[in-house]
Parts: sequence; C-alpha cells; structure tokens
Amino acid sequence: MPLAKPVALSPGDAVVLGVRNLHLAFSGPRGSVEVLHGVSLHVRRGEKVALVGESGSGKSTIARLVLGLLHDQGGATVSGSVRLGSREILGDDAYIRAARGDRVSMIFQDPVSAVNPAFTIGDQFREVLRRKDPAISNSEATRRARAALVDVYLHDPDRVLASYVFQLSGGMSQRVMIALALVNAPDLLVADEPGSSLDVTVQARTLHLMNDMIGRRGTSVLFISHNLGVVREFADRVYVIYRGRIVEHATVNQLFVDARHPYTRALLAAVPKLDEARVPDVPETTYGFANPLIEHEGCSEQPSVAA
Amino acid sequence: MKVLADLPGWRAFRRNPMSLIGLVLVAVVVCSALFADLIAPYPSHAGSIGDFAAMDAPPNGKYLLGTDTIGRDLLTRIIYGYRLSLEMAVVVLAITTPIGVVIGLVAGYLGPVWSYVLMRLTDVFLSIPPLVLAMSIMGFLEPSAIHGMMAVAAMWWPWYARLTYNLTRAEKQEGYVLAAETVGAGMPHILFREILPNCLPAIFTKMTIDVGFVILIASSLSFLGLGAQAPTPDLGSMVADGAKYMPDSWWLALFPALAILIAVMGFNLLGDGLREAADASR
Amino acid sequence: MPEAAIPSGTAPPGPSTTKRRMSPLLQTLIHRLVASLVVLVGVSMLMFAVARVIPGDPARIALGPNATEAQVQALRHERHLDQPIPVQYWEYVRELARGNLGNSLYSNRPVRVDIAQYLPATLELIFTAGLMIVFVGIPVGVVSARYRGHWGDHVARVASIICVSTPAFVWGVILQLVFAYLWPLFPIEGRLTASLPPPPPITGFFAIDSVLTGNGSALLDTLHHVALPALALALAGIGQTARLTRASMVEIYQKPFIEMAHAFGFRESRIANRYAFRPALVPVLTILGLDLGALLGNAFLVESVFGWPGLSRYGVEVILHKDLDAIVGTVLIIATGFLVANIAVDLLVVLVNPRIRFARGRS
Repeated sequence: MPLAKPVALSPGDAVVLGVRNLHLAFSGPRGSVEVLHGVSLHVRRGEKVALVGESGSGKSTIARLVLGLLHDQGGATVSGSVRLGSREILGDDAYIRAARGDRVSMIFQDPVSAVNPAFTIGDQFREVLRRKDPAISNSEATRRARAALVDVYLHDPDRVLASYVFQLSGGMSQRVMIALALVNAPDLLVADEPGSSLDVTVQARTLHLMNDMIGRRGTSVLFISHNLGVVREFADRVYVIYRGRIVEHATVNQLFVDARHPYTRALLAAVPKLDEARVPDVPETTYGFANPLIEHEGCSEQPSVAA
Repeated sequence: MKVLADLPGWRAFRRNPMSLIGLVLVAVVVCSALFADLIAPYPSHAGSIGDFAAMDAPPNGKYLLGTDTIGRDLLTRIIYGYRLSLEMAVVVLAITTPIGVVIGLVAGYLGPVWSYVLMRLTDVFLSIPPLVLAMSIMGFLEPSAIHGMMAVAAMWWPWYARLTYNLTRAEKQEGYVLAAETVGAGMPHILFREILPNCLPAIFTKMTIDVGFVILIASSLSFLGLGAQAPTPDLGSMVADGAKYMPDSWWLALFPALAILIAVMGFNLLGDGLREAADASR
Repeated sequence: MPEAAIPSGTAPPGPSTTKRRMSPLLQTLIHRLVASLVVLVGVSMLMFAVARVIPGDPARIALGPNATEAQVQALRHERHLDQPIPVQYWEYVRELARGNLGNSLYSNRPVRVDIAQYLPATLELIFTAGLMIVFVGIPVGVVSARYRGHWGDHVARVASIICVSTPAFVWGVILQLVFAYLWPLFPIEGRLTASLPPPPPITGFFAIDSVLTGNGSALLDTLHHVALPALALALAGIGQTARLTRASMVEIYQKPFIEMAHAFGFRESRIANRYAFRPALVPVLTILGLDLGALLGNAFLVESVFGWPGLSRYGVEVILHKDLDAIVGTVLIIATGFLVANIAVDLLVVLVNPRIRFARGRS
C-alpha cells in the first residue's frame, strides 16, 4: 500500500485538530454500547490542550480515534468529524495512515512497555525516521537520532542508542519516548498520561523537558490525563470529560478558579491526585449535573476551519 | 444441563466450532469403543475368520469399507481397533499420570537437591525421542499389545512429572501453602490436599490431548510390528499390512489411516477447546 | 544528572564493580553441557540395565542353539557376563571411551561401522525435513497471524491440526500413494535411482557430495528422492510450528509496543515480518528443539515406508532381531544427537533474546 505524502498544515490553518460531534459505539454480545456521545474539541496551533477525566470516561478512546487507530477494529461504529488541519480523517484511511508518525504522533503511558524489547533504541529511531523519509541513510538516521537524544538531555547518546529499552531507567525511557515522538517534527502530539508510570519527581522533570521541547518547536499537544496537578502546570485549555461526554471546557485559569460543573468541582476537591479509589461518587441527580456542556468565555472554536 | 451452560468456560467452549467438532469426533471414537459389539456389522470378523467369498473386496454395499485379504470387514475391524486404541490409552494414562504427578509434586516441593535429582532423571527419559525410547524398550520384550503399553507408559510419565513440577513450583509460593505449613500440616497433606487440586485442571486438559497422542505413538509402534500382533485388530498394523498392497487395494491402508487421523484430531481439538475454556473461566 | 548512567550490567567493569561476569552465552553452554553429560550417563545406564535385565542369556542368543555349553561359557567370560552388573557397566563404559560400541549380531560388524554407514542418510533426511519445517511452518504462521480471522487463516489452522494429528507413517503412505503411484511425480523408494552410481563418500551426504564433485544429475536425483520422505517427516512439525508461530505472533500483536508501531505509522507488512516477528520468535525456537527430537523418532517410520537406508531402518531391524549391542549403540547415538540439537537451540535462544543476553547474573 503506497503511502501518500501527507499534506502539511498550511500557515493559514489555525486549528490543528478539530473534533466535532464524535460518536463511537461498540457492538458487543448484548447489542450496541455507545462510548462517546457527541464529543467536540479543538486544538489550535501551538496550543496545549488537556482532556481530563477518570478512567473509563473515554479519554483514551478519543486519543486513539484521533490517530485513526480504533475505527477499523471490528464492531466499532464511528460518526462525526475529526479533522487534522483541513483534512477530514474519518473515512479517509489512507490519509491518516500516511499522517501517523509524520504529521501526528503519540506518547504512551508506560514507556518501557511501549518500546519493542527486541530491538535497540537506535533501531527504533531508524524505523521511525525511515517512516518519514524512506531513503534516509543509516548514518544520517543515526546522526538525527543522536541529536534527538541530546535534545532530551541524555548523556552518552551513543550508548543509549546501542541499548535495549529494559536496560534504561523509567525516566530515561520516557525521554527516549519523547525524543522518538518529536524526531519527525509532527504538527500534533497526542500524549496519553505522560509520565504517569514514573515517580513524582521524575515525572515533573520529564514534563518540564517535554514542555520545553514543544515550546521550541511550536508543536500542538493534546494531553490526556487524570492528574489535575499536571494539567494545571502544562495545559493552556482544559476539557473535562465524564462518561463519554464533555461536561466543562475552560482555560486552565478559568477552570481552577471558577469550576462550574458539579463533577469538575468534585474532581478539584479530590486533589492532589486522582486515582480510581478516590474519585468522588457524584450522583447524577445533583443539581446542574445534566446541564449541557458548560463552556467558559473565550474558549469556543473560531469558525475559520476551512471546509 | 442448565448449570453447565452457565459456566463461563462452557460458553467459550461452545462458541468455538473446532472444539465442538472435536467433541463429536471423540464421541464417535468412544461410542465405537464402548458399543463395538452392538455397532459393528460383522463382529466375528474381529478375529481371524472372514468371509472367504469376498476376499480383498473394494468398498461396496455389503462391506462399507471393503474387506481385507482374508475377507474380514474393514469397518468392523476399525471399530474394534478403536476399542483397542482407547483401552491402551486409558491403561497408559492410568499408570503414567499418578507416577508422573507424584514425582513432579515431590520434586517441586522439596529442596533443591531432590529437585535436581528428580528433574535430571526426568531429563534422561525426555532426552531420547519418545518413539525411540518406546522402541528400544520393545527391543527387549516380545512384541505384544501389553508390552507395547508398558513401553509407551515408561516413556510418557516424564511429561506429567515436568508439568506438575512447574505447577508445584509456582503454587509453592502461594499463601495457602504457607498457611498450611504454619499450621504444621504434614507434607502428604500439603501435596495431595492443597497443591494437587490446583494442578488438576491443567493435568486433565493434558490428559485429554494425550489420549490422542498415545493413540498416535501406539499406532506408530504397531506399524513397525512392535505392538499388537495378528489377528488383533490394531489400527497401526492394519496400515502396515495394507501398505504392502498399495496401490491396488488402496482401501486397506487408507481407511485405517484415516481412522487414526480422526481419533487423534478429535482428542486434540477437544483438548484445545478445554484449555481455552479453562483459561476463559479463570 | 545521575539517572543518565546506564546500569552497570552493560558497562565495562570500573574500579568499584566486582570481577567481570561470564557472558550468559558461555554460562548457558556450560550448564547445558554438564546437564547433558549427566543425562547421557543416565541414558547409558538405563539402556544397559534394561539390556541386561531381559530374560534370556545373551551369550546363548549370540552363539545360537547349536553351540556347546563350553563355548557359551567362554563367550560369557569374554564378554564379562559372569561378573556383577556394576562391573559389566564399567567394562562397557571403558569400551565406550575407546569408541567401541560392541558388535552387531545382525550385520556381524562393529556397531560403530554400521552406524557410520547409515547415519548420514538419516541426517540428510532430517536436515531436509528441518529446513522444510523452518521455511514453510514459520512463514505460514506469520501470514496466518497477520490475516487472522480471514478464511485463509481458518484453513491454515485446520490444516495445521490435521498435520499434527497424523502420524508420519500415515503421511508417508498417503504421499506415496498419491505422488508416487497415482501421479508418478516422485520415486517410490530409495535414496538414488538404482542405475545411478552414488557420489564419492566425502561427507556421506549425497546432496553435498554431488555439489562438491560437480555431479549435477546425482544432485537432482538425490533431491528428487528425498522430497517425499522429508515431507512426510516434516508435515507434523510444519503444522506444529505454524500453530505456535501464529499463537506467539497473535500474543505479540496485543502488546503495547505494537500499538506504538501502529501509532507511528509503521507499515503493516513491516510489522508482521520484522517488528512483531523478532520478539515472537523466542518461544517458537524453544519448541523447535523438541520438534527436532520428534524428527529423530519419526524417521524410523518414514524410512520404513520409503525404504530409506538410514539409521532408523537399521534400528528397527536390530530391534526386531534383538541385537542388544546394536540397539544400545544406536540409542546412545540418537540421544547424543538429540541433546546436541537441543543445546544448539538453547544457545540460539540466548542469542536471539537480548533480555537474556544482557541480564545480570543467571541466564
């Protein structure tokens, strides 16, 4: 299957990722189960947008749909619109396949299991680089890989390139993961719970590093997280998702100062870290729970997404 | 039946068409073995007397799978052949499983010295290809069905020892073993009342698949002339005899061969299905 | 930053580390050699014990019913049969160390000579079958896993089960019937056409000898003759390997790093043939070692059907003739071969699996 060269985002594209009214249903042994009920979100160029929710809320599913990873799985019915720049990717398998690893890339939650243990780090880099430029020479690929590792402050990049992922510490493999994701200079980075498998201090350092690199390159980020502390540090805008529905959408400041949805308020009250055991059980009969999306001022998507 | 249907494993089993096919095939083999006297069209042909008027006849209306060189109905002999195969498999497994399991339990539970000794002993038997070992044991005995069974049993137990050894090593770390030890339970109690029940599902699954493989090995031995002797209807020797008359009397070798295939495949599929069901219900 | 250092398992020894550990490859090799030696000793004891324990008087059997009592006694003394069993065993081992495996009653030659004559034929058959298993079984498994759920996958799985469930001699009979009798594409039996002279015995492998002496027609004839027997031998292994490769690949496909490969846009074919393949290989290799043992055993059956002049057919004959020394010698050689093959496979596994190669301490 020949890979078409994915269309780069033109400077006129202000919105890098636009999701509109996304529905996702899985057909199981007992009929169809809807997982996402009309989710809409957008990420502008250079922005860092967080998608916050507990596990099972559908946030990871959205991440995978954005990469076109789920909808060819058996039994999944998707409707709505997902645009990368001005290109619709739902239904255009060829385009999203070409765009993966090139225009959009992903960082996984557990870096140690996300990297193939049977290949060296250097091999992984060569695979990723060759994905974008099939004719790249080994020496050029190694040069770029080394530069990428230096960018993430890994000393002795040659030794790292020759190692296997299980020989590296958690923090180092996370940095390798970041370097791999950014080496092809994508327009959009989807980060699924970055650093959540690391211990707290290491996570903080790693996230600062990621922030730094993203800032330098102007990459847009869609951040999936259940950790409000992290979100507060690094995100510009936040969507709160609950059971497949966006319930609140605000800038970081607005959210932490003036959360309006009962669920968001309960989440904030459960600081410092959300894990399954501590997420409050907010009865859905609470006043205001069933309100349609609460969108704060200044957050709505500009109507300038070209058709 | 309803209770059975509710078990999660049964649902997984039922959903897999291959397991059901295996069940059907196994049922055919087992029924043939159990009810041979009732099902076989010409029970007297199981011995050495056939229908001399219809020697070496290809499959026809009277003799569905044809007759052999002395006029015995092939279908009858295959049905009785299943009985013999199943008998051998049951006997072999009845002997080897207890021996292998006990050795494996003891080796897995006791200290490193015993483990090493017992496992090396197991290795001795495992390092000779199964058929070679059975054959060489047969080399020292007169060929017969019983001796064949003994030879196969002698080479089979190490597999159960290995399996039980691995399972016991894993179970040994579990909490309930520690609890029993603390209370002062004796080793036999711990081994047989505590650890063994947890190993049983894996052991039973293996036994099911093994019925098929015992039939395979036993028929290989008798193909070489090292198993049951004439006129006992043994599937392997029937293939060996039939092979001499190829290709003219092709049915003589082909149908017993297919019979072996059906039996082994049935038990393989059934065993695989059971294993998947066991995994699903965990 | 301190965490930039790589754990000391891979770093060259610095002044503060303990003395350098042996490479896991070497460790594995030594462990396996020692274990194999122990096992071989055990096998020889087992064979010896069984051989000496059977009813009947070996000396009498060797000389036949017409020999006088004095001759029998003389032979018994010469063969140390009047000594206690441990002494007999010791004598046997001494002879073994000198390369003397005893004499065959069946061929009236030293067992060693018999084995040297027949072993290459069996090895050639087994190698060919082994090549078939690796180069047919593994690719079928890979393709099956990649297109799992498609009808081709189901066909392949059913075919694999049929292959595994069928004894090698049944395959031999069927293949002979179809491809040698019905459609005479292949010869019915034997290693070479009777009218063709065999190539000079440099290695004993007809294929290699033909190549070495530039004898093209002998090479073609050899390959022609080895095709059906090797296939009959290999089919069970092909089925087994295909099933195992498929299962292993399917398991790898569930792993997070394959999702990462998809997320990074790696091509599906590249994932199947390289990225998922390499980590999937380890369990397959392990079972391959066991399959080799099965080849050694099943060679007996196939050699019978196709009249292949190999060690296995020799083995069947000596067993039927109760030729004790020959039986024991043959079994020992086969056991040695099996152990060597298993060691080779274990070393290969260590080489292929970087996790073992770089593990600190025990392999």
